[in-house]
Amino acid sequence: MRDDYLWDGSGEPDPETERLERTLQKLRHQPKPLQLPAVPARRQPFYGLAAAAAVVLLVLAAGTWVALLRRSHDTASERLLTARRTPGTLSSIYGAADSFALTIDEVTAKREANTLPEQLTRESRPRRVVEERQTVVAAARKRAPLRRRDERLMREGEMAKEQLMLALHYASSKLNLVQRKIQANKASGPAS
Amino acid sequence: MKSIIMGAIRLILFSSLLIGCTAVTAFAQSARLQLGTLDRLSLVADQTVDVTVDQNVLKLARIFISKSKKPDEQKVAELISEIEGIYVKHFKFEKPGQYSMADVEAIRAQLQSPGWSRMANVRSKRNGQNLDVYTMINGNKVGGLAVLATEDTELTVVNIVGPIDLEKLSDLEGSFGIPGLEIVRNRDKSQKE
Repeated sequence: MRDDYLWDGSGEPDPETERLERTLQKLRHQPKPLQLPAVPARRQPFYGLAAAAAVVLLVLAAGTWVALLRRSHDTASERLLTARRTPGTLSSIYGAADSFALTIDEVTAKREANTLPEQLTRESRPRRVVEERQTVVAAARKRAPLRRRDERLMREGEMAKEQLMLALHYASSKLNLVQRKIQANKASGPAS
Repeated sequence: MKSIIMGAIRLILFSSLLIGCTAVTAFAQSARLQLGTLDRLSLVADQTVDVTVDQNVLKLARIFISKSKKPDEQKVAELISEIEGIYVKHFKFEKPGQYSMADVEAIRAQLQSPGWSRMANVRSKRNGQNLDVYTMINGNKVGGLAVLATEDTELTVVNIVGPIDLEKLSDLEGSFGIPGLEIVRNRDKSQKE
């Protein structure tokens, strides 16, 4: 038996080989052109509409930013001027500074609570107002020990005043009591 | 050499004597009474008022009063401008005999020292009331005041150190929105009745 059939197809094939060839014949390579699936037709993109929407959004964002900038700047400047112009003692000045700082905090909190996203609000917060706020808060913190000392002195002063008034009150009352007794004795005469 | 040492010793002794005499005189002339002996009465008293207004308290009070624009406080500021201290001790007892006359005599003895003179004395047998007003005269000014008021159930000592205008002091009663002690006392009596 020669195996040439398995090598080059010449010679006499083996019956078993023939059976296998017949069985696997339907799976042999059949050359035919590649057929790709049909692609649906693509719709034209709305470049114009997207561009218009982007422009509108940009205009809206810019308008909001400018409005916020102007409003917060006016408020902060006005309050700072008011605080600076307020006459009075050291304590009242500290009080004004504190109220100013609180007012800015309140304004900021209100703005952050609005519909604007936090990132946008932070970016749009005017730098000058933030700097002013930081300056005032830092000054208030720096002066806090002085303010506490002033308050302590005020309390001690009030207590000293009360003590003095009480002491004078006793002295005055007793003197007047003596005067009244003497006058009463004089009025009633020496016999009494 | 020996004479120089002896001279130095004499000088030191003389200086010490002079300083000692000055200190004794100054202490004797001070209008400040020692009221510490009365402190034990606070244990038996029903009510105790102990007010000490020394120079530090006065200094602080002057600052506060001087800033005030109220006429009453202006009067006070004027009155205390030269005062060095005010000391008050007031005891109210529940029943008579809870303090002894020895307590009062301890104070009265101090008022017998030179410089003090009794300005007024009022006695009432009805409720055992005894009021003494002493002043210390320095030159032409009143340099100190002491008021000793005793009753069966009350003992009050007021001591003002430093120059004071008695007329202005009398005018203060009833000021500052505080009623006079007499008014309070009368009200207490009427409530009891």
